[in-house]
Amino acid sequence: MAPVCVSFRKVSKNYDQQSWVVDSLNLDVREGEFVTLLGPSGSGKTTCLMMLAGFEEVTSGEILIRGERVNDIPPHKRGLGLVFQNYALFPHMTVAGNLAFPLQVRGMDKAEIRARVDEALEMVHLSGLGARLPAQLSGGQQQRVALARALIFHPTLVLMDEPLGALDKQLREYMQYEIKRLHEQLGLTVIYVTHDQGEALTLSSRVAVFNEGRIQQIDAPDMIYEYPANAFTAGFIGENNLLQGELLETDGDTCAVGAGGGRLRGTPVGVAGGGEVLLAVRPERVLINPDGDCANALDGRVGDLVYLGDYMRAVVELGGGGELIAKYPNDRGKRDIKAGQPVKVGWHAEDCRVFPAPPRTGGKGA
Amino acid sequence: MNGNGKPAFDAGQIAGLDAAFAIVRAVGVPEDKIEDADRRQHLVRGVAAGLHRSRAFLLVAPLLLFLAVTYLVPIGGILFRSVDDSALQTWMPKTAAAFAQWDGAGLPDEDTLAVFAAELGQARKERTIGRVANHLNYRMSGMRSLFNKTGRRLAAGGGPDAAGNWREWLAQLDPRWGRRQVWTIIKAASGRYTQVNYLAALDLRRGDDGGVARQPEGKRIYVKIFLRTLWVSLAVTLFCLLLGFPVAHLMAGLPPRISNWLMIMVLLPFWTSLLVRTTSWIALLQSNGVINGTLVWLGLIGDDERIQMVFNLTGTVVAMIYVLLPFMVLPLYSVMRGIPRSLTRVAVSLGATPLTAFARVYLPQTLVGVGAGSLLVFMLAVGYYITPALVGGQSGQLISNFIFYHIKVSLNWGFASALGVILLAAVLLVYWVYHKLVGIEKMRVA
Repeated sequence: MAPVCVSFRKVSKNYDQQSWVVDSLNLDVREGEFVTLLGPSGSGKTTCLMMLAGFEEVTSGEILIRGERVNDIPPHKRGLGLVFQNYALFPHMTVAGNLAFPLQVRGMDKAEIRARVDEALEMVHLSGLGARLPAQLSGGQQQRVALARALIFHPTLVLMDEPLGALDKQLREYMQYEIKRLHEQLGLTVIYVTHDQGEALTLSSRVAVFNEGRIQQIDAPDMIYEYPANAFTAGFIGENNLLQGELLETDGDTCAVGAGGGRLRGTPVGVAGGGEVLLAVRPERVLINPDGDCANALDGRVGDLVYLGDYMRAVVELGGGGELIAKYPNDRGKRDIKAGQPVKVGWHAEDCRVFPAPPRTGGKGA
Repeated sequence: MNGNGKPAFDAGQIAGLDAAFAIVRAVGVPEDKIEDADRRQHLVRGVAAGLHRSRAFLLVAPLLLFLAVTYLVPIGGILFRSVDDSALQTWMPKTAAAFAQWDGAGLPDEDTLAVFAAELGQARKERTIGRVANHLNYRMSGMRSLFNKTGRRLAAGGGPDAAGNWREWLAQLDPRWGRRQVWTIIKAASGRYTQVNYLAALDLRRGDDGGVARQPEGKRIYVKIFLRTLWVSLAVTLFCLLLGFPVAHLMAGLPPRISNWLMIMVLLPFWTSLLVRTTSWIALLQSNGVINGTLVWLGLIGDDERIQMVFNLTGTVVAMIYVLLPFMVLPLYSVMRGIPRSLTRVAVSLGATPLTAFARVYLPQTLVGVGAGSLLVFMLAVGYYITPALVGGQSGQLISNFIFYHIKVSLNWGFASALGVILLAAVLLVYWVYHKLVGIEKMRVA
């Protein structure tokens, strides 16, 4: 395993002595990792990044970069590459001037600077545009300049704060690819902040899901998606059907829950005894007219039916109240399902995760 | 087109367009691309846009008229007045003609003097003598009384007897008539236009040989005042910049709730009369005022060592800085608010010290505001009147106070106009330099 690059140790931050923006955060990022801090706005992810960059003070705890405590090191001495959402190019300098800036403040000689600037322009496919002013570039080009500028002094740790937030969808996908390429090509360690989960799942080696100043879960993208650790992550990442119910019994790997007018089986995650629970099952794991060996089956009626081309999306009104969203592939066999038609829906116990119900329900879903 | 025989637009125009499109067709543009309807619509839109423009012009016409009457006409007026020398020509035309003929050597001959005496007596009777006398009095003091005295005698039928001549009679009446300088001044005033106001405004005069020479040492006033006005304005601008920059910077960086309060504090002085604010500086700065009183009370200076801070140049500079400061803060604030804070952050993250980030990233972007604010303050300072008049004393008077003096007290409007025109020229020069350095189009005031 690669050595630890950045480590947050019990880092807390508050502005007003009352509410914690970041609440005793522990996080280790290893060399070469691409870790995304993902969460709704106000969840503390940007504050974490700014504390690491040195622009926000740490209220308590410590931040280490390669084993060295950096709490009291001013930002200009931390040597991190930093990319902001709004590009933050210097409008009064040319593209080449922007790229040369970090090298000039390091006192590099002119010939070397020129060579590095050319190399950086080439790296982001902008050769020949060095003499332009930032205002004369498109949004995507500006973002590539910002990226090149953050990398030109060869930092090995790069922080990005919603760098693609201002771009349109198509450009964003292209830039995701570019960032991924640079990450691999240059062997960078990247800490990336976003509220776009698609971006997080695509780019990251690990995703840290933030809410209310705490990391709810940190894991590889597929693990986060498949095995959410709590109700927040289940509701926040991807689409999920969340059903309220009551825990009836637990036996080993599965448990029984009373919900939706029936007895349902799921995989318990941190539940024991009894009480209010939340069932989460992904729409694509909800089966229409399941086989006999399916652990759960409920009666319902197809409400809205949306045709998505390769997929169908159905809202199933359950007999016992409530509704579920089911997403199923557009097979020949299922073409005859029509809105208003009674159906059976079901899912396997291992596709259904049962969490303790949070004090107030967060997230989305049915 | 609309049934009553009046087409919405000129039929000839359409015929012309048709011909033009026929040519286009001939060179092979597909016909379906040039739809007749499109063409008409385009034409209608053009006419509509024209109507719209002329209507917009009509709306601003009153303002243009107002500006023309209250701004351009007075400026034209002072330009004209500063070179106008037509008093003699208008009120004593024959004298003007006769003196134009005189070669200026020795004293004028008898014929010229006879014409002069006849017209002077006539002017006295018609009560127009004052106009000429006043005009010439600006050229040389004493001319008014000399003209009035002589005119009175001439109007009463005075004059040389048969054996005598005008030259002797006049010299006997007043010895000044025997001096060539008096006659030279009358000759100099015989034309329509004169440079004498400008020469005087620049401490120059016509020497006896007709060439331009400097005024004698004791009479050089105005160049010194112009230079004083210039450096006081520059100093005020510089101090306003030094004091205003941090305030604007602070305001631009604070959340709107707090910066709005600061903005009100900056604008608060505008709610009080300028007169009151300026005179309150007297209360603060005078010998028995608050500041001297405090210093004496603290024992920092003795009771007999009170500092003279008002009714001199110090008073003028201090009060002007105070009055003009908001005009520096507002444009600076407007520009600084538009500079994202993330730029300095990113500069620091790229390895620049906070000082370097400020100097290389923040400061260059504020220059537009610095230019606009400095220009505004400088322009206002150069023409400032009321503050120096109230707290300037003797040594703190600026050029506008002298312009006021000549308009209101000495009534030498021609000279006041010349001072005004020189001031205007200096301001335009500064404007031009600013335009060359920064560009007027980049000016942002608020």
